[in-house]
Parts: sequence; C-alpha cells; structure tokens
Amino acid sequence: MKILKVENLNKVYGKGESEVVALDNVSFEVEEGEFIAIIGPSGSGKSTLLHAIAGLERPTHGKVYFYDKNIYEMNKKELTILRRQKIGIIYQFYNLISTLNVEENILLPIELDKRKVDKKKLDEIIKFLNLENRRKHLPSEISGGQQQKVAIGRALMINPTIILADEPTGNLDTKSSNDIVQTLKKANKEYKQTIIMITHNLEIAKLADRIIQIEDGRILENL
Amino acid sequence: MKIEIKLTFNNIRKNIKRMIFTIISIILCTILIFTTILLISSVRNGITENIETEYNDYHFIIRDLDIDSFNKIKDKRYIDKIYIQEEEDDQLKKLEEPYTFDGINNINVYIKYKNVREVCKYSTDIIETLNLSKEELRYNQDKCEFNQKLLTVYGLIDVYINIDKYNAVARINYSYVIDILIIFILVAFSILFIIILYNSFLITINERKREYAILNSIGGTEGQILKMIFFEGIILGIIGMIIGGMFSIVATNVILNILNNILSDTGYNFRLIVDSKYLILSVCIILINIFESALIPSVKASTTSVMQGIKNNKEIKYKKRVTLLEKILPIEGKIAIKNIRRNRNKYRTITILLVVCMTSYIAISTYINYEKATSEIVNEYDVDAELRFEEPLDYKYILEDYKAKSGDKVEYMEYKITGLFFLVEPESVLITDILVTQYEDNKKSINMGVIGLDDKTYKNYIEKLNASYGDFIIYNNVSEINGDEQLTYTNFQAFKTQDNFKLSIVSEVWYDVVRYEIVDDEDLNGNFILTDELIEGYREIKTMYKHPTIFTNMDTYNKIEEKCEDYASKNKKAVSKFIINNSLNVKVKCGNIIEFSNYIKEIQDINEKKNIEIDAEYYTLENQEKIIYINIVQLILRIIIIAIVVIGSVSAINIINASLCERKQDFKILNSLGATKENINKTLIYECIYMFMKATIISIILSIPILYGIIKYMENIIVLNKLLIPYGSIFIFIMILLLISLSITILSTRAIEE
Repeated sequence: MKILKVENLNKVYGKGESEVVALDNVSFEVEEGEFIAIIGPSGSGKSTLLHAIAGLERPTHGKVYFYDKNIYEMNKKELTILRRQKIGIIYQFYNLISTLNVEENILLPIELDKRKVDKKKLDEIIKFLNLENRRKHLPSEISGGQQQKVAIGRALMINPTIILADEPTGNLDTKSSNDIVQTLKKANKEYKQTIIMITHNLEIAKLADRIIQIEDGRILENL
Repeated sequence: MKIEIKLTFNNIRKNIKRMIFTIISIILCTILIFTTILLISSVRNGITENIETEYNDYHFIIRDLDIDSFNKIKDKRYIDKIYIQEEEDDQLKKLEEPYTFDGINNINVYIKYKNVREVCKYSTDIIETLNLSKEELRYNQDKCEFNQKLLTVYGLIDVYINIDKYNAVARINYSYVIDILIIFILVAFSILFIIILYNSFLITINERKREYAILNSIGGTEGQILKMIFFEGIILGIIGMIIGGMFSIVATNVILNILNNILSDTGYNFRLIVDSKYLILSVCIILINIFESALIPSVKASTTSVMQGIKNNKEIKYKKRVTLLEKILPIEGKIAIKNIRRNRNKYRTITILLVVCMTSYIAISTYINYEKATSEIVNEYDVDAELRFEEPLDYKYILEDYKAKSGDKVEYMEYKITGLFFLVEPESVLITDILVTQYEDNKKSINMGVIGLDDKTYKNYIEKLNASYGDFIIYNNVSEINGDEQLTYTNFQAFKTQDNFKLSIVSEVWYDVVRYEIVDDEDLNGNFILTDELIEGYREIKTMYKHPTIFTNMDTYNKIEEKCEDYASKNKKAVSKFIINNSLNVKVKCGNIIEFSNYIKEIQDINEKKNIEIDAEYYTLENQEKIIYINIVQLILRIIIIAIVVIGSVSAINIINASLCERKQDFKILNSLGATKENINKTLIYECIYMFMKATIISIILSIPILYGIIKYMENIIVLNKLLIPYGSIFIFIMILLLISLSITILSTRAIEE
C-alpha cells in the first residue's frame, strides 16, 4: 500500500545570480514497510528532500501526499500534529532535549500529544534499544550512539507511519553506525516500520530495500 | 499541560544565572513602579491628613441656614459628612441622627462630599435646592464658602460661586491633571520596565531557540511553546514581584523618612500607606508589563523556521562599506565595531539605557540649578519678616522667648514710620518736580517719609555715613514709575547735595487753592546728611517708596509725632499725612522662617482672644518653601536617576554575559589563531567605548532642545546673563557611567577565561 507519494517536488533557494535549485522535479512513491536509502554527494539535495517530506521546509513547487492527502494543504498546526502523530524524525545530531532523561525524551511526542503513556510499549522500546540501564540518564551522560538510539526510540514510540532519518550515522564511529543501522533494520523487520534514510555511505545504503540516488536535486536512479 | 510545566521548570533550572538576571530585572522594575505608587498614596494621604487636621475635612460651608432648608439638603446622596455649628465661634459638631435643634433657628452647615472632584456640581445643586437668591449671594459674601486650602490639595484652585451663572466653579481645576501626571509617570516607568524585561526574555529565548525548534519538529505546536514561555514569565514574575514588593516597602519607608526630614518644620509627617486599591493597580501594571515583555520574543521563538532554529544560524548581512573608524583602529577595534554592527539589536538596549541616563541627568541637573537660582533672586526685602505690634505688647519678650525655645538665631530692629509734607527753603534746593507741591507764595513742599530708628540701628547708620548723633539722614531719592504692564523705575535725586536748606513740617489745607500751615519748624533743625545708601534691613525703601525718606532717632521721631498731635488738638484737625502708621514696627531676621512663622501664628491666636492684634508679613517664607520644593524635587529626580543607572547596569550585565556565551565559539577560534586573552579583552573594551561614545553623542544632541526648553521656561522667572548648565557635574556623571560600563565589561571578561 502506498503511504507516501512525492510529486514534482521543487525547491529553489535565493534569487537571480545567487539562485540555487536544491530539488528539481523530484517524484517517487513509498510502499508501506519499505526501507529506502537516499544516497548522493554533499549538496545533492538529500536533506532538503527529507525536510520537504517531513513538512519542515515548504517546497517551491510540488506536492507530498501522505495516504493521498497533500500535506502542504494543511496549516502549520495541522502539519505539526501530523509530525507528532505520523512522522518520526531522526537527525544527524540527535537533537534531544538536554534537560530530559532518556525515558522522558522517548515519551516527549506522546506527552505533547496529550496521549496516555503506554508503559508496556515504552519498556519494550527501551529493551529493543538496549537502554534499560540508561533510562534515567540525561543525554550528556550517555554516548553518541546511545543518544541516537534515544532519538530512534522517540521516533518509534509514536507508532509513526514513516520514519525519516537524516544521516543518522553521520556523527558516529563505525561500530556505533553499524549498531544504529542494524537497529533501524530491526525496526523495519519487526515493526514493519517504513523508513527513509539519508546517507552518503553506500555500504550502509545497501542494507536498505531500495536505494534512490540523487544528484544536483534530481533523482538519477531508483535501485 | 504537564509536559509544558516540566520543560519550563527544567529550562529555569538549566541556566540559573540567566534566571537570576531576569528575576533581578523584574525586582528592580517592580520596585520602581511599586515604590512610585506607594509614595504617591502615602504623600497624598499625608498632605490630605495634614490639611484636614489644620483646616478640617469639610468642602463647603453654608452659613445661617434655617432648619427647614437644612432638612431639604441633609439627606443628599452625595454628602459624606455634615458638621453643624450653632454659633459662629462654636466647635463643629458632626451631624449624627437623630439630631434635635432645641430652640435653634439657624445654623452654619459644613458639608463634606463623597467625591471631592464634583464639589462644584454638588454645591451648585445645593444652592439650587435651597433656592438662594442671587442678591443674597451677592450681598452676603459669607453665606457660601469653600474650604480652599483643602480643595487646593485636590487640584481645585479658587473655587467660588459665580453669581451671574448661578453655579459653583473652580478657577483652575488641576484635579485631573494630577492623575494624568501620575499615569504619565507610570506609563514612562512601564515602558522602561518592558524594554528591560523584553531584552532579558529575548536573550533567554534566543538561547533556547534550538530547543524550541526541536520541539516543533517532533510535534510541539506554537501554542504549546508559547504556553511554556508565558508560564516561565509568570513564575519569574511572581518571584520578582514578591521580593520587589518587600524591597519597595523598605525603599518607600526610607524615602518618606528623608522627606519628613526635609519637611521637619512644616508640620507634614508622611507615613507609609498601603492602599489596597493602589496595590491591585501596581500588581496589574506589573503583570501586564511582564506579559508584554514576553509576548514578542515568545511569538518570535514559536514562529521561527524549524530548520533555521535547529541549525541555529544567523543571517549575516555582508557590508562592503568600511567605516573610517575601522580603517584607523587596530584589529581588536575592527572586530569590536563589526560585532556591534552585526548585533545591532542586542546592543541597542544598552545604548538606549545609556542615552536615557545621560539625557535625564543633563536635563534634571540643569533644571535644579535654575530652580536654585530663582530662590536666590534678590528680593525687595533684606529681612525675613516684619511684625506690627500694638504699643503695650512686649515684643522683645516674644522674640527672646522664641529664640530660647527654638534655638534659632534672631535679630530684630524696631522703627516707626509716617509720611509728611515738608516745606523746603530755599525751594531752589529741590531739583525734582516729583511729589512736589508749589503753593501760592511760590514756596514748595515735598512728600517725605520719616522713619524713627531704634538706637542701635541709628548709630550704625550714622557710623556708616560718618555722621554725628542728632543728624538727619535723608535718603535722597525719588522714583518715577512708568508703564502699564511692565513697570520701569527711574530714580532721581530730590535735593541738591551741596546747599544748605531748612525743612518744616506742613499741613495742607484746601481752599480754592492749596495752602499750607506750619506744623513744626523746630525739631528738624539739624544737619542733613544726603545719601543714596540705605542701612541694612531697609532695602524695600529703594523700590517700594517713590519719595525721599528721613531717618532719625526715636526720640526725635516721637517729638515730631507730639508736635503733630499738638497741632491736631489745637486746630481740631489732623496733620496731613500720606503714611499713617501708629504701630510699632519690628523687622526680623531669623534662621528658620517656617518655624518663626509658626511660632508667631500661635502668639497671634493667643493675643486675638485678648483683642490684641499682631500683624505679620513673612518675606522669605515663599523662598523657604521654594527651597523645600527644590530639595524634594532633587530627591525624587536623584532617586529616578539612581534607579535608571541600577536597572541599566543589571540589564547591561545580562546582555554582555549572554553575548559572551554566544561568542564562546568565536573566542575559541580566535584563541586557536593566536589571539591572547589581552587581545580579546581589548576587543570587548573597544566595544564598550564605542557604544558609550555613541550614546554620549546622541545624549548631547537630544539634550540641546530639552535644555533650550528649560532655559526658555525659566526666563519667565529669572533673566540671567549666563547659562546655568552644570558642566562639571555632568562631566563627572558621564565619567562615572563610563567607569561603571568599563567595570561591567572587565568583570564580564572573566567569564571568557573560564
């Protein structure tokens, strides 16, 4: 079942001489349960594409459909709530709230949505991420890899339609990177989680079901 | 709401320093507003209490009212209290139901209204109810009267009954002006409050921009982020208000004590009054200010683009233009100026505060200088007061008693004065026509005052002029006064100075032409000393009298008076006089004119009961009150300046601290490229000096029209041939401000070391 459709997405920064086309007529579709890797060199438009899909950056032209609904027809609040309920985002630099501990960071979107906390699910996710001994630790008290796992846990907690991961291993060493990718792979397999992951590392990209190659804002290949 | 509260408390705990600065800013601004309101209510209450004690609390008096008429008005809904007076000098009795008028037909009614501002409206209504006729009001001026002293306190000046229009009016109504002034002061302080607190919140929120962006990216709505920020504002606001409120009470007490000290001789005694109405008003104003200060930064934070917030990058506008300063300064100066221009908004608050401080001080200190000068204007009198006694009263005992009781230094001189017509022989000695009468026989007389001095003063005068005892000193001056609106005095001599002449007292008799009769041609046989110098204590003779004046000793004066009385009894008619003054006059110089006037008023009250009249005029009283007024104004304005400097310093520390935190990365890079601690410190000092110089230039420019306005206003009161701008003290103040600014900068650089 198609859950995401990107149609003729365009993003242009600047004007005149300093105009930069970050995305040039990008279109593709994502089926439920797919693990997609978007690969490309620096400045190819990968992150811009991901942000446009997440509703974090409005494209110049084009549409993004979640279950046949164009997200750019929603207002700011609806878009925010969509992210809260349907889209899990994992950033390169984790972007955890420094004053909340591991458990609180994972529960943050649930609490923002005023939903009742499913303690069982929380325990399950923490166990899944091997963070049982770090539940009450602050982000400053855990390693980079563990922080990224917390970010994954935050994304998984809301049962999202799709997880968007922007270079999740970009700031990690090889061992941690492998760990993170395996975690994402495991989430995709066990929870049937649809994942779009950006990476510049081909080896990591090969672990995905499909690779979309992007260069100069255009899709080159759909592998 | 749970997660928002949790995140709010976490944020507060995360950066204690920032939180403390914000709370301190709120405390200081709370103190400013709260203290102002407490002072207004306490001083207002104190003045009203004082006036009501001295002059009672009624507003309107109706005299000689019959009982039926009284019953028509006594139940009017706008009346708060009624006092009754059965006889004119009786004590006032407060009307309490039931009241019976046994055998009384008419009473004096003293009315206090519920709303003093409507005194005119209510009094008009009462007159209409009583149906008092215009004739009654016109011919019986005492029928209706207002308590002017009390009404003046409320801003209602000269309230009277306009008989033609048949209503009560106030010649000037300042009652709303006072309220408008208070509102203006509170608005001005609120603006300062908002500027300071806005800046404080802006720094705090900027530091958390990234966090707010992350929240937004994972589903935190703008509304939720706004709630967090406002909640934080409320928590800090409540803490700041409570602490600020307590300090305000202390500060108000201190200021009231200083005020009571200044006014110690006036009978005023202010005490702290915490009126619930004013308390609620202050709290509302402070809460509104906190809300407004937090509003814009929080809206900015919640609406910032998510990615921009997460990446935390600032747009740096590239400016190709290099200023002259950047060309001539070393690298530290260049970096300093670039940083200030890049972060213009941040440093604007510091510049504004510096400008406000300097401009306020320049304007305030100049105004006070001019006010002081007006109080030192040479007035017509060179004594502080003058008393006039009926002969049998021992005035020396009264003055010595005052001296002993008060410890005040007192000097006094007695004199008597009359104004007579003097025949001058030969008439050629007279070199003026002013106040000169020519008779049928071509002889001439001139109006002259005669003053009998006490022994001590007379001896001092003759010593001053190298004269001998028994000589007559003639102040040889006549004045011509011209002009209708602006009077100009021109002085002439009356007598030729070299020639000898004879003076005889004459009495003028009017038949078909003016004739004279000699009253006394013996007692004025003596040496005449013509002078244009006056003895100390008689300066008013120069401007108050147009005629020349003879000064003599008291014995001679008394002889002259006896001759006049003899003439009067022989001829059954009084001697022609143009000054008739049978009292004993005493000029007084004292140290504390207010205390002296209060003492004499007590003596006057005592002697009035014995039907002994003492007249008194207090020449320097107005000046003394002016000095007190200046001291109070100075106190208030200095407090305002200190408050602005303190609040400004706290705000500046906060801004600089935040700026340094933000630039830590920059400093690390500079350090890695070889910049030492001294280089970085120099950069910050250049920033400080640049901002300060900019603020100084702006202040000077802003001060020019303000000073022009002050000087123009003061020219109505005093015309001077020099400017009274206190350049010295302004320079010192600016230097102190510069020192404070540099100290803040240097202390802040310690943070960089860490």
